[in-house]
Amino acid sequence: MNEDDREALFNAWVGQHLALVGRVARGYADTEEDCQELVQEILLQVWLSIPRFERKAKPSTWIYRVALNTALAWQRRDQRQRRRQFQPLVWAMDVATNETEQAHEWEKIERLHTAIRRLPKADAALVLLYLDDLSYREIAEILGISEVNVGVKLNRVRKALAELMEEEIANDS
Amino acid sequence: MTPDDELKSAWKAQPLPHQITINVDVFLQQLRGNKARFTSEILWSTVFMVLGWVVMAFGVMGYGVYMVRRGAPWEAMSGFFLMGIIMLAIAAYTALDRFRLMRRVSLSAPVLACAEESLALVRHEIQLWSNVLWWLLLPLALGVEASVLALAWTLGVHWLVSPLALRMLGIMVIITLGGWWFSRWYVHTYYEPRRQELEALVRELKSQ
Repeated sequence: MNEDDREALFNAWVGQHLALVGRVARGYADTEEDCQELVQEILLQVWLSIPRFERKAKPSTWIYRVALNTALAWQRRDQRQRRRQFQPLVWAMDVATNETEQAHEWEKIERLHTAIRRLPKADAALVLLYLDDLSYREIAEILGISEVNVGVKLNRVRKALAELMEEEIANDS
Repeated sequence: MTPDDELKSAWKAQPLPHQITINVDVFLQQLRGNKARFTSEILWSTVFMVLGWVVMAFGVMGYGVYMVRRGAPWEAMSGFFLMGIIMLAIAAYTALDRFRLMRRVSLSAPVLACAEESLALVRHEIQLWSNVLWWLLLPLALGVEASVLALAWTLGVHWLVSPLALRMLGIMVIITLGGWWFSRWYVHTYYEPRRQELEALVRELKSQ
């Protein structure tokens, strides 16, 4: 793959899948700054991984793998080391949220993010993929486990997530 | 609509307070510069480490040759040659180990495979640091001590042997124990938490 093809592919993927990357980053990063940093790290790893892309998997499956592996590795890294290496190249743009309905939706999503971050790491990855409406087969491909295992785990994790959400609601009220 | 479906639709249409944006051209421009720097940093850190040992080895052996040429007895300098050989062995071991580690974890692999590969790397680093006494500290200490003893023995100044050798032995024991203690602290502080986290992740993914 030459540089032009690589750049074209990266451009196309960023256009199509930036939201996916953002959602994974929000699942693992607590603050907006951390989220920006993680998105940037994921995009860097996507770029570095492109030469190994053999078109056997769908681009979205590929990007999910890179995003989750990067997010999990990023969490393990020392925070001081992360800060030292960070130069912002991805920006967070303010969007109006003053409408009541939107604010209400935002609260719900924020509770969901908090609940996801309280789950064990593997379960959090599973929930992120489940919420993005991926099939059991796709989830199994991304995580490297069997489809049956995905089904069994999801039953357990959905219950755990529901309980955590209830706790979050109780804490808020 | 089930509660799960509601969550999914809210998730996908989540109204983030901040929308992430990126200027791909600027990003790629920075990326190329950073990547080149990052690759060269990794490469050069290994090269400097190995080269450092090689230079020290040849420095020590060169000093031995210089002293022999100036009339010092060969036996007196034998410890310096031994130390040079030990340093070359450490350089070879370091180079081989880093070369093996150049096979990096592929982040595009499934999460379980990637976690297992990372765990293997962390375990290897733990093993390397835990055994630093055997492959680095002790050979160096023995080399230095052998040099001092050979020098003192050849000079035949017996009244000097014990104070000099003992002083050197004391210093080497302190350095060796200090290095060993530091390696234990480093493993405990930096690698053990990573190992435990990765083991937990692999366990979680494999469990039903």
